[in-house]
Amino acid sequence: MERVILAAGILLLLLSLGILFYVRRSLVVYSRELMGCLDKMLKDEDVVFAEEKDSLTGKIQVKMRQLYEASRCKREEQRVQKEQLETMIADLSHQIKTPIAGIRMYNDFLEQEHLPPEKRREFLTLAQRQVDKLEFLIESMMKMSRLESGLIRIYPKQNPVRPLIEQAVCDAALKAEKKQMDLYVQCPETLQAWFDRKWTGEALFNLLDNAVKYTPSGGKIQILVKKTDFYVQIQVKDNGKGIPESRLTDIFKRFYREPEVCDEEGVGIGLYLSREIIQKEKGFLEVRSEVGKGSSFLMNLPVREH
Amino acid sequence: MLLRNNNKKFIKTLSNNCLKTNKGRNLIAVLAILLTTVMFMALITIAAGVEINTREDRMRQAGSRLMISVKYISEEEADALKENPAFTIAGKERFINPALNEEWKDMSVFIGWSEDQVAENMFMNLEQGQYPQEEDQVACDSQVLKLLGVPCEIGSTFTLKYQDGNGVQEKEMTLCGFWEGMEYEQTATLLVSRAFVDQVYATLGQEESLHTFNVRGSFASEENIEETLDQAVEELGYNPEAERGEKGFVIHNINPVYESTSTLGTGTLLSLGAGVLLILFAGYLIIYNIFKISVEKDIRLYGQLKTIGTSPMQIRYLISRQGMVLSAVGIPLGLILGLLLGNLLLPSVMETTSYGAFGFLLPPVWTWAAAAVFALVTVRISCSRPGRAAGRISPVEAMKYHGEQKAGKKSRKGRDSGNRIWQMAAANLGRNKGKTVLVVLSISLSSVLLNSVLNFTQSMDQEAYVRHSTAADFDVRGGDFAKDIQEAGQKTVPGPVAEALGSREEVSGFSKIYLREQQGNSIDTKQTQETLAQVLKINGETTPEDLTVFDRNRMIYGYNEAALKRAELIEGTIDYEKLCAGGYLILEGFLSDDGDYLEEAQEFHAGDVIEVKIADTIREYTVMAVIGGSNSFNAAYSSGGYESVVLPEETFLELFSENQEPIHCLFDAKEGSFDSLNAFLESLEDRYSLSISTRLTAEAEFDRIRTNYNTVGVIVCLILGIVGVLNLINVIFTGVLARQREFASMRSIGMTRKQLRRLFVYEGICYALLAAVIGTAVSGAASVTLVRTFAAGLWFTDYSFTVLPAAAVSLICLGIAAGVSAVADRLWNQGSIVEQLREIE
Amino acid sequence: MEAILETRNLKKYYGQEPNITRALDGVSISVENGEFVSIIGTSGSGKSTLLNMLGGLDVPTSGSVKIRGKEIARMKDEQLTVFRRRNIGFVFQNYNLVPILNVYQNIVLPIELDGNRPDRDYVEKIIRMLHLEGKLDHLPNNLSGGQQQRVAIARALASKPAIILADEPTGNLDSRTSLEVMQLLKMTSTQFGQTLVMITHNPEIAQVADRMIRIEDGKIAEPEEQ
Repeated sequence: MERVILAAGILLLLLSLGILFYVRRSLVVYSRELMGCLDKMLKDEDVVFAEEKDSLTGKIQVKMRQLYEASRCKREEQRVQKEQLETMIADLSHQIKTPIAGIRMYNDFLEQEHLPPEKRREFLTLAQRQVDKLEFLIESMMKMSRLESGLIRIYPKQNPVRPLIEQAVCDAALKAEKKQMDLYVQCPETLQAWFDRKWTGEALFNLLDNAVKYTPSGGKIQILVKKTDFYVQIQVKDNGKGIPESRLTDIFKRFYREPEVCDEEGVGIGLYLSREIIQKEKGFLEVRSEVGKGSSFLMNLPVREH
Repeated sequence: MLLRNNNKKFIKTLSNNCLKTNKGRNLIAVLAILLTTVMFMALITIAAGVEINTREDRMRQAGSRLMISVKYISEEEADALKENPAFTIAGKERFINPALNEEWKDMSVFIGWSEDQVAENMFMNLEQGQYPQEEDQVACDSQVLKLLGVPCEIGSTFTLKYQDGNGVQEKEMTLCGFWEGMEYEQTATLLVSRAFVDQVYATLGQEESLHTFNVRGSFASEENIEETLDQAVEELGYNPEAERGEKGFVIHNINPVYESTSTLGTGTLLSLGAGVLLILFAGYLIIYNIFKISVEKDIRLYGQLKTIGTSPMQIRYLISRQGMVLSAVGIPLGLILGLLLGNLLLPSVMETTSYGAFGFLLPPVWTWAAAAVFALVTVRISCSRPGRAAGRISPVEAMKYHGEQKAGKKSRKGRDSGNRIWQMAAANLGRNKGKTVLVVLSISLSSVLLNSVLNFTQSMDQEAYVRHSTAADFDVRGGDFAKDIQEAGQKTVPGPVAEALGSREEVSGFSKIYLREQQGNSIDTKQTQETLAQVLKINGETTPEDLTVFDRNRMIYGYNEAALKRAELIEGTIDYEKLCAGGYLILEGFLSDDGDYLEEAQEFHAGDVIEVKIADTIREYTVMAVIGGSNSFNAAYSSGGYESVVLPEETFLELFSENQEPIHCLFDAKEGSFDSLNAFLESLEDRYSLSISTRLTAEAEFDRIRTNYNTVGVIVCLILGIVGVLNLINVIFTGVLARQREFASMRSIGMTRKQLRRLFVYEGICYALLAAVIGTAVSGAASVTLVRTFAAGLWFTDYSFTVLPAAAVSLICLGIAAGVSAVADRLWNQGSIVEQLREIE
Repeated sequence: MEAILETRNLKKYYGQEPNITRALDGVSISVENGEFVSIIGTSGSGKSTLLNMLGGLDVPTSGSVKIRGKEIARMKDEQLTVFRRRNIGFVFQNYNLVPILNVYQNIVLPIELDGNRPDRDYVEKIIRMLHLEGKLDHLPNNLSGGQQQRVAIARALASKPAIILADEPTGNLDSRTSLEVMQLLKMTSTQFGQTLVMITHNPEIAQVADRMIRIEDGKIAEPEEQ
C-alpha cells in the first residue's frame, strides 16, 4: 500500500515538474517573441506583427502594433503641424506684403507736397482701406492660428438654433440691404443643436457674408433650417452665379479665392475658418452648386452631443 | 495550448442564443441523444444485470456471498482468525449433524449456529422474526417448513430429530424466524442457538468437540484472495500448502464464484462491443444528420460570423457546445429511461440464459458512467463533422446561400399542375442526395429489421416445437427431472403413480421408460467405478477401446411396447415379443434438436451381432433395430451421439432391481379428455413432486420463446423506427425553414397556398415512398437470405416468406410523412408573401 | 506615409471560357494609412467583389492583396479569420448582423470574439453617436434598414480596427441619411487614424472621401489626380 502511495507521489511529482517545465518554456518563448518585437520597434525597423495567431501572444501583438502606429501617427502629426506652420508663415508674409506695399505707396504719394488736396484725400482713403484690410487679415489669421493651435477652445453646448440665425442675419442685414437683396429665413422655433454660440455664429456669418458678397444686387438669399436624422441642417442658399463642380473641393482651402471674384474684398479665409469651426463641433459643411443658378452651403450641426 | 486565446466566453453566449432560436431542432436533437443514451444504458444495464444476476445466482448455488471459509478449527483459533484485519467481514459458525426428520429425507438439512452476519451472507435473510437466541428456538427457510407441513408463522412448533453423543434425540422447537427458500433445493440450513449447539457438543467428547468451528469471511478486495487467505491461515499456525492428512492441514476454501473473476465470456463481450458500435452508429446517423441539417439551415449565420472574425475553431466549438448542452439534458434523462427499459428487458434476456432473473436492478456507477461516456462520444463525433463543415464555409458563398438553389430548374411547362408539383417535389429530394439517402436509409433500416424479426418469429413452428419436446400429450417425470443434482436414474416417477396413471381410462398409449446409468458422478474416473456394461465384440471383432465402455452418455434404457412404438424407427423392424424372448436388443440414438438422426455417429446397425456384458453376464445379442429418441425419451442430460442400449421393460426390470420406477411416463389423452386429464395431473403434480410436461406447457414455452424474440426485436425496431421518423420530421421541418425564401418567391410568382401545401405533402410522401420501396425490397431480399439462414439454424422453424410487416411500416411511414408535412406547412407558411419575404432578411 | 492596403493586378474571374465573367480584371490600388478612399462604380462594376477581396472574404483568381505588407491570400483560413477579426471592420451592404444576437451583442461581437473586454466608454460613445441607445436589446430583425446599418457601423467601429471597409447600403435607405451616416463614420475613423474604404454608386456620398477611385467593368477607370 505504502509503495503504491509512494509510486503515485513520485509520478505526480514528475508530472508537476513536467508541467512546470512546460509552463516555464512557454513563458520563455512568449517573452522572447515580445522582446524581438519590441527591439524592432525601438530600432524603428519594419515590424511584422503576428496578428493572425489566435493566441494570447497574437492579442498582445495587436496591441503593440496599435501602440506602434499611434506613436508613428503622433510623429507624423507633429511633422504635418510643423509643415502647416511653415506654409502658414509663408502665406501670411505673402498676404501681408500686398496691403503693406499699398500703404507704403500711398504714404509715398502723400509725402509729395504739391499734391492737390482732393488727390490727397483720395490717397488717404485708399490707404485707410488697405489698413482696414490689413487689420481684417491679421485678425482673421490670429483667429485661424489660434483655432488651429488650439489656443481657442470651442465649447459646444445644447443651444437653441433660432437665436443663432437671428444674430447672423442681423449682422449681415446691413450689407444685404445695401445690395437690395431679399433675406428669407425659415427656422422652426424650438429647434436645438449642439454648438458653440459665439464661434458658430461667426461661421454662419461667414457663409451669409459670402452669399451677400458673391450674389449680384437684387438677388435672393434664403436661410432654411431643418432637422435631419443626426444633424440640424442650416442651409444658406443664394441665386448667384454658382461655382463650377471642379472647384467645389478647392473653395474650402485657405486663401483660396475664385478667380472671378478677386475684385471683391476678402482674403479667402472665411470658408476655411467656418469649416474648421464646424468640424470642431463634430458637424460638417457641404456645398452644392450649379453654375448660373446659385450655390447653397449646408451647415450640419449635431443634434446633440456625440 | 498554454497561450491559447481566452475567447471562448462569447461563443457560449452565441451558442446559447443559437439554442434559443432552434427550439424545434433542440427537441429533436435531445430526443435523439436521449434515444442513444437509452439504448446504451439499456444495453449496459442488461449486460450488468446478466453479470450481476449470474454472479448472484452462482453465489446462491454456492450458498454464500462470503469469499472464504476456514473449517474445523477451535473456538480460540476462530476468534483469532476473525480478528485478522484483512477481513472486512467475518463470523463464526458451528454445525452439528444433519437433521433426521422423515419429511426431509430427500434433502440434507444442516443444523447449526451462525453469527448473524454470516447468516445474512449465506442467503438466510430473515423475512420475519429474528435469529435464534433461546435453546429451543429455530430459524429456517419456508420450503423446509412447507415440507414439514408447518405454517410459516413465528411461534409455530415442530419436533426436530437430531443426533448427539447419546444417539438420536427429539426436541420440540419453536420457530423464531424464517426466510424465503428456493424450490427444489437439495440442501437447507436450520439455524439454532449457540446454546443448542453447545449442548449437543457437550454430549460428545472433549476431543471431538474441539475443532468444530468454522469461520467465513470476506476481504476488502477481490484480488489476491488466495494469498490473503493463505497468509491468514499461516498466521493462525497452519500450513496452507499442506495436503489432507499432513501436519498443519486445515480446510480453507475460496468461494468458487470469486475464483473466476468475470462470468462474461469473450463471446458476450464481443456481442456487447458490437451492440455498442451499432448503437454508436445509429446514434451517430441521426444526431449527425440533425446537426448537419441545422448547420445547413444556419449556413448564412456561420458565414456572417466568419466575416466578422469567428475563426473556424470557434465555430466548431460553437456547434459542439450546442451538442454538449443538449447532451446535458438528453443524457441524464436517457440514463434513467434506459435504466427502466433495461430492467424491463432484463427478464426476457435472462430467460434465454440458464439463470433466473431477480428484481429491479440498479446497476453500479461505472455502467452509468460508461453509458454517459458512450453517448457523449456519439454526440461529439456527430457534431464534429458538421462543425468542421460550418467552419470551412466561405463567407462570400454563405452570404449568397439560400438553400441549394443551383439545382437546374427545367422550365418545361407541364399542363397538369398536379403532375408538375410531383415533379417539383421529386426534384427537391434530388437536390440534396446525401440528406435524402440518410433519411430513407434510417427509415428503411428499421422496417427491414422489423420485417426480419417478425418474419423470423413467424417462421417458428409451434407444431415442430411441441412435437419435439413432447412425444406425447403428456410426459410425466420425477420432480427434479431438469435438475442436475441427483443421479438421473433416481429422478423417477413413483411406481404407484405410474400404475395409477396407466390404469386410467382416458389414457391411451401408456409408455414407460426406465433408465439404468453409469453410477457415480462424472468427475470420478470411470476406472474406479464398477462398469455398467461393456460392448465386447461387434460381429465377432473386438471393439475398439472407445466403444467398449458405457459411460454417462451411453446407458441402458427399458422401454415398454408402447414406448417403442412412439420412438422413431431408423433401421430394422421391431418385434416386441421376440425382443422379450431374449437374444435381441435395440440401440437408441439421440435425435438432434431438429429431429434428425446423425447417421455418421451411428456405430451399430440392425443385424449386427454384438457381444455385450451386462450385469456381469456376457451374452451375444443381435441388434434388432436402431431407433431415434427425442428429449422425452431420454435422461435430461443426454447429449447425443452415442447409442444407448434399449431393453424391453420386462428384461430391464428383471436385471436391475434398483430401477423399478420409470423416468418417463408418456401417454396421450383419449379424444376429448385432455382437459380433465390435465386437471387430474395438476392435482398430482405437487403431491407427488412430479414434473409434468404437456402439449400445453410446450405450447406455452414456445409462445414465451417467441414473445421474447418479438419483444427484443420489436423494441430495437421501435427505437430505430423512432430514429427514422425523427429524421424524417427533421428533414421536412428544416427543409421548410431553409427554403422559406424560395417558397415565398414561388408564391409571389403565382403558386397558390394550396399548391404549396401539396408540394410539401408530396415531398414528404416521396421520402416515405422511397423508404417504402427500398425497405420492402431489402426486406424481401433479407427474408430469402438472412432470415432463411437463421431460421434454418433453429430446429423448430418452418421458413415462409413475408414482406407484410415492411409493407405495414411503409404505410405508417407514409401517413406520418404526409401528416408531418401538412403540420410543417401549417406552422410556417402562414402570413402574407411580403411578411414571409421580410422575415427572411 | 506607407500604404496600408495594396492590391497588385488583382483578378477575379467567374465561370469558364467562353462564358467567363471578369468581375475584376487587373486592379491595382493602394490606400495609405489613415486615408479615406471611396470606390465608385455602377452596380455590376465589380466594386463589391473588390471589397470582398480587400477584406479577405474571397480568394482572387490571381494577383495579390497586401495588408500592411502581409499577403492575405496566402494565409490559412483560420489565420485569415483571426487577422480579419483584428484588423478589419466591415459594414456590409446587407448589414450582415447576426440575427440571433441583440444589438449590443452584435456591436461587441468582434471584441468578444477575440476574448477582450469591450472599451465601455468608447462603445457607449459610438452607440450614442449613432442614436442606438434605446435599441440595444432589440434583435436586428426588428430594426429598420437604417438602424441596422448604424448597428453595422457601430460594430465595425467598436473594435477600433485599422481598416474599415464599408459597402454603401442599397435598398431603401434614403441617400441623405446615408450621407450623414458616412459623415459620422468618417469623423470617427479620422479621430482614430483608421483607414476607411467605402464603396458607393452615389457620387454625392463618394465626395465625402479624401479620394475617389472609379471602377468600371472590373478595371480602374481613370486614376484620380490628387
